[in-house]
Amino acid sequence: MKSARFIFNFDSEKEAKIIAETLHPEIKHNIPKTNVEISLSGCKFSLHIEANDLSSLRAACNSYLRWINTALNVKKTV
Amino acid sequence: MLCIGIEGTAHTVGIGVVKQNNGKCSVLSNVLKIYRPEQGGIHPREAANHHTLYIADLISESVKKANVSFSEIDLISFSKGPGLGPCLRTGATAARALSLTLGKPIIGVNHCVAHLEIGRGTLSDCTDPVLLYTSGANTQVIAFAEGRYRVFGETLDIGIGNCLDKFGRTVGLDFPCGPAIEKLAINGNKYLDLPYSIKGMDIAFSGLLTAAEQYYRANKSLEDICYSIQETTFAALTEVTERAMAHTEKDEVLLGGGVAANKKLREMVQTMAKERGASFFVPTKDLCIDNGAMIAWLGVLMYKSGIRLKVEDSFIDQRFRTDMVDVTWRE
Amino acid sequence: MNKEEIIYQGAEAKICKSKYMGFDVVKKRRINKSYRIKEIDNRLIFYRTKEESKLMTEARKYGVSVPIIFDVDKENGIITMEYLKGRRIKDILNGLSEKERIRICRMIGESIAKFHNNDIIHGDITTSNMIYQEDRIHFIDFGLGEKNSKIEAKGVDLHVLMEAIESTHSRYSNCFDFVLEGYKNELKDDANLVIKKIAEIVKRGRYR
Repeated sequence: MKSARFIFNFDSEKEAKIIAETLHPEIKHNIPKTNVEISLSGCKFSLHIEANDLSSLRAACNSYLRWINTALNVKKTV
Repeated sequence: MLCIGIEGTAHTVGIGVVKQNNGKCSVLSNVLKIYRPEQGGIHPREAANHHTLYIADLISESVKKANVSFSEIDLISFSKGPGLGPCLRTGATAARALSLTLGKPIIGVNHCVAHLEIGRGTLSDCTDPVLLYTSGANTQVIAFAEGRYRVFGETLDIGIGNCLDKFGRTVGLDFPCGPAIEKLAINGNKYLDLPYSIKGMDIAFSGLLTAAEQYYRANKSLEDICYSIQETTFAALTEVTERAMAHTEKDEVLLGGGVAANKKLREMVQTMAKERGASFFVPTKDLCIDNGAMIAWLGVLMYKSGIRLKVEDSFIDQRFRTDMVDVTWRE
Repeated sequence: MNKEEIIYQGAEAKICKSKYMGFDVVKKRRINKSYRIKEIDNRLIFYRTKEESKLMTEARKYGVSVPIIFDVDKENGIITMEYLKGRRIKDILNGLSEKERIRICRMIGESIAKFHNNDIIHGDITTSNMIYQEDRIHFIDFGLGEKNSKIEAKGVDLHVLMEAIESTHSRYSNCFDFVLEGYKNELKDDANLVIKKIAEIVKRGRYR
């Protein structure tokens, strides 16, 4: 099992909550061969990704980072 | 009701803002960016990266062009499927972030049904059409029957747009190849026999594609090949559409999808409609291709009929079938 | 010239009542379509007229009741065939006694098995395409038919009938079960393979 952990310190609790809730449905519908957990504490958002092998791990990391990026960009545009 | 729609099923990321006016749809803005692979077919992840790059800017552009403010938006609608997973997820992610930021409801819609509803919504007298939906990946004949939108005929192998693109790539045309093939076909006049494959109300193109490529390798005139491809494939599409009209006893036909921009296809379907005494409809080009406005409009119809979706349940569905949609907004 | 009366107009053909050497006949005239070029139109009309008459003749050889063909004009796309004065199954099925309805449905299934045994696919089995006359079920309109030995093709063929029964005879939707009974009795291969295929097609959600 390979794993990666990302910790984000967002500008506000609201921002962190929006990111967490945006990702939530994707976590429920997991990418095959990976296991993802998120946790939220104030402005701190952590993302833990586990996968069977390195290439699945890399793919999952890319996807989640892309979604976080998308969500942040959309939030900023409003 | 003001709604923003987010489309991202395949090549196109599109955002549109629509408003409901006396039951009809008025499009306030409709902006998009199309991913064009440098070579070969679509790569889902690269397309998703492309969409990620532009989606936030497109959202802000569409709101500006619509001349509204974010706080006036009542609803966020997104393409739930069918389509490519990574692309759909990008659109859904943007929709969720927008919904949560604005504190406004979210709704997920079926892309194919949206192509039909935008015709009904924007064209007067278009009330109960049979839709011939032709795009890259999709080729379907859809109509309302027994409370649902049903697929009466569809491709058994590849979509018509895909067929044109594959042939175009073989002969070195730029993507999307449909317009280039249309232009070449105008100067063709000798018909080269090509397989015409209809099974019941379904249709197939891969045999024709192989035969057309063989003509090219045998140094037949490219103009004649393009002419023959269009005449054969479009005749088959027109025929399955007519069969569906006869079967469902409907007297309206609507075009949708990127290939509906093709003049030859329009002409043939229009001739068929005229001979049956039926009405022919085609939305403006920006509403035929994949776009955000149609997603927004279907969102309005669903929301107004009482459908609600929680952000936590706003999943995508790559294989979201047309007849899985519970059509609560029609009698 | 005989007086002709159009009794049905479909997407592809007109059905006219006429006389041929003193017999009451129907002429199935395929319609030229001006949306397609002559080369394609002529080829399709020629080929489909030929195929349809061939399938009908073949079905008859295997004991399926079909109208007798008097004449085939491939160039002009006209099949001249026996006029059946019986009534369509669609129009009588709902009014039959239960016992009679079950008997008719079994007969329908047996007939379908007879042509499926010989890899003939009808392509549009609905109760409007069956005519009941002299206690036999006659099959008409093989215009969407083909020769195909695959289980898939036979499954699709029966699935069309299943949906037709569900929509037109919804009160008696168990009719299809009796059709399958007759089908099982007559089919040479394992009918369960075809029945399993039908369930698979239902799951795929296709509709027509």
